[in-house]
Amino acid sequence: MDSLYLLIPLSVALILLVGGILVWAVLSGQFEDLDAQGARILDEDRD
Amino acid sequence: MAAPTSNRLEPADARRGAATDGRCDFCAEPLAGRPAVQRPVRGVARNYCCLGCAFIAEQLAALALAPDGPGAAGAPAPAAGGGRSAASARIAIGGMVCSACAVLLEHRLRSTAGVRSAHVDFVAQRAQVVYDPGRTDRATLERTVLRSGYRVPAGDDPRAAKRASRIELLRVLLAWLAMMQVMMLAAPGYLAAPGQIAPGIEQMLRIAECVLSAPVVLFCAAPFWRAAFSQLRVHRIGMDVPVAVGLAAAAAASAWSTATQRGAVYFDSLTMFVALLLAVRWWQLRAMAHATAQVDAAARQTRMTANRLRAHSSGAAYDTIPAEQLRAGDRIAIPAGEAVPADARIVAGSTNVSQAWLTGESAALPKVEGDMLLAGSLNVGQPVVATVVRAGDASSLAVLQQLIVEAAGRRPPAAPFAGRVAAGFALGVLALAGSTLAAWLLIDPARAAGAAIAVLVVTCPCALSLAAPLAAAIAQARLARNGVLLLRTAALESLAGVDIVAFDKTGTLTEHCPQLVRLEVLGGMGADDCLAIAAAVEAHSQHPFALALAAQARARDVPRPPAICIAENAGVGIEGIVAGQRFRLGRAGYALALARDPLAGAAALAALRARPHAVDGSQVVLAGADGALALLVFGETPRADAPGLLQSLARAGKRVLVVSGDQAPAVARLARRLEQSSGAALECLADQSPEGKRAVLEALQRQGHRVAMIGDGMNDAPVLAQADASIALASGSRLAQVRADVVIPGSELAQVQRVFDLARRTRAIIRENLLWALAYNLVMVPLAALGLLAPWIAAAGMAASAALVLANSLRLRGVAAGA
Repeated sequence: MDSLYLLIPLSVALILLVGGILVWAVLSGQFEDLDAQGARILDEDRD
Repeated sequence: MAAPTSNRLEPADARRGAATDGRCDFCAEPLAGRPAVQRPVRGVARNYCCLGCAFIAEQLAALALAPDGPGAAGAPAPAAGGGRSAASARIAIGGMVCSACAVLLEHRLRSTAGVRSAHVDFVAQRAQVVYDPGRTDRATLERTVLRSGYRVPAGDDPRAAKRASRIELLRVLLAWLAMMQVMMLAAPGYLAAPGQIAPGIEQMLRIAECVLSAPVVLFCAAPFWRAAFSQLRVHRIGMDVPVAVGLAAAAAASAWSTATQRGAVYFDSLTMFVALLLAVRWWQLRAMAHATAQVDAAARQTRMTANRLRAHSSGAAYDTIPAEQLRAGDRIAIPAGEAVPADARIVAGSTNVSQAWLTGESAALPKVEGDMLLAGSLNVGQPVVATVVRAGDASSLAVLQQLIVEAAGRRPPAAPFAGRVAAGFALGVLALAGSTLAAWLLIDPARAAGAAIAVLVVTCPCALSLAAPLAAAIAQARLARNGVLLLRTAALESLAGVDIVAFDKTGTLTEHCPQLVRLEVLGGMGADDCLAIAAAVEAHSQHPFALALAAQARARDVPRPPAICIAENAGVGIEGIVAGQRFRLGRAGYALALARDPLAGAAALAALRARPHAVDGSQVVLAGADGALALLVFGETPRADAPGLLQSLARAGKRVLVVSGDQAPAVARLARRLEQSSGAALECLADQSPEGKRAVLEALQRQGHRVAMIGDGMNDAPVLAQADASIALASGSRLAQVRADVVIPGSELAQVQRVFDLARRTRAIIRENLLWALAYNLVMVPLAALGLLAPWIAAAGMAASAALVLANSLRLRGVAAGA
């Protein structure tokens, strides 16, 4: 059971990291336009 | 039974007076024997040609901008800033989280020196303020907004708005992420037998939950803190106060338990509560933003522009500028089919205009050189050149908009059922927690704090605060699927509670444009041929009659031969050559002047004049070289779906009222027709100006009635704003000017019935939800007060009751799917 003393803080750190990525993703507009991105692959002028 | 004019509802307006021979005191239109509208303006009795002119003159007089006499109407308006004139400002507001914020801000703005009236629109996130430019200015008003704790976004900054909506989304997502993690950390404690988990691990789990809950309480729940705070500041306890109390109690108690390592922690309930509330709130905000965006987009597309003629150019060179930039004295070109951008006087040309936005009368009025055109009127005749008399805030269109803002401020406040429950609930919970604390202090002081906290946490009104918004959001989505825009959620509940439904006549109960109701053949030509010629001559005109002819010709599948050499004479008629022959369509005298044989023409004219005048509309004569061919009668026709709607409203026990700007005989005639076809009793009020209609509604509301108004959103806009709930039928360019709670694009009157049905169902569902939430609390509170409630029961109960409320609300999705 002693491993939990390491694993619980580790999991909290991991969640905080995930939360940080979520903050970045939302604020940089990754969730803004979910439908148009699928169609973009059809646009040949873009790389 | 018909009651053409009800005694209780005597119109406040002056009646149409005797015939006079002068000119209208506002637009200088010759009265030419027509009955005038007599009104005293600033102590002097005046005659106006129509209710529209009378109304605008009164409103301008109130703003001290009215022309003093017929001649002075041409003079430019006094410069802004002059003593008694008022200015208005529209300020975008950021940071409002609930309608209590709007009330608070409104109160602050009104108590600012120099402010005459203020209305804060929570949905549009805007404030409309009328103030004395001499005593205060826009910058002062903006400072007031900032001091009250709200933001003033620079312009309508799209980047700031985008950032704000991203932050809202972030709150939801972070709360859900934290909720899932906290739930996982809490689960071992619920599943393990007592003592199975080492105390050290237990404490570590608590600390982890605490760390993950902190951003939820401090960041995600911020809108609830703010809303509760502003509700407390205006002494209007809404649902956010008990939410904030429950949250604060749970957070503080759990943090204390973590720090002291004893007592229960409620981090799982807490985060779940915030996550559920935020999700529903976000859903509702998005639906609302979607609905307002559609109206705003229409407004942007139809932003009024003006064609200002260049001062030193001899030709017709003009610049297209926004209408707000016009100044008195500018010369503008007004093309056919476009709206008049400012109050202006014709200097060249003649045309017909429709002032339906103001008077509700769809008939086109002839205007010649020297006549006034009111801003917002539609030029349905030919291009003209005009000189601007009043522009911007002084124009008649702006005056009407001002009236809307004031009416919205006078609307009786909506008291949503859930809001009323919330106030009692908040007090009840505090009292319960207090008595629990007191009782346990007497019995076992060690358990007192724990039990009191448990009461506060378990009553945390999750289901209660989800009850109304969830049902409203689903109803809104349901309406949106039918293309109906719900712009004020509270209106849905008001709509279910109204006992009087008031209708505007023109464009609401009747088709928007006059229709060809009768075609009498007078000469040797068949009815279809007459229709073909009339439609051909009018093919390129924007006149309402021309549109009616085109519609009729299409409906009867009549071919339209090409017409050449078309000449339109404002106010009398139109002529053109079809298949080599000249025809005229218009007033009898004008049309018959074309007759090859003057004696026969005169005889036909005398015969026409001897006939009784058409009672059901205005008549027009089609004539050629051989004399009169046909008599065409244009009039209003009731919408096909009007009787069905009236019938079901009457069956639901609602009083139906028709308020119209039109003259009494026309209104009574339509009412009788509708009564016959629907069997519902209609009460009629004719000859009403927009202000008169509004006053009627206000009087009814003072008698304790709750009134819904259904109109086309143009000339009746102030009335729509005064009503407890309003529905506007509007489409295309008119969508832009509409300010109503519910907007039905397209003009299907049958949709109104669906809105009423859905409103009734929504109210029923909201009440069921509230009932369930209260029943849940009745069971849980005694358990908590007795100290029998484990934290996991609180969490499970909250999840279960929220799920039940969601399931119940989802039943709204299937309402009236096709009917």
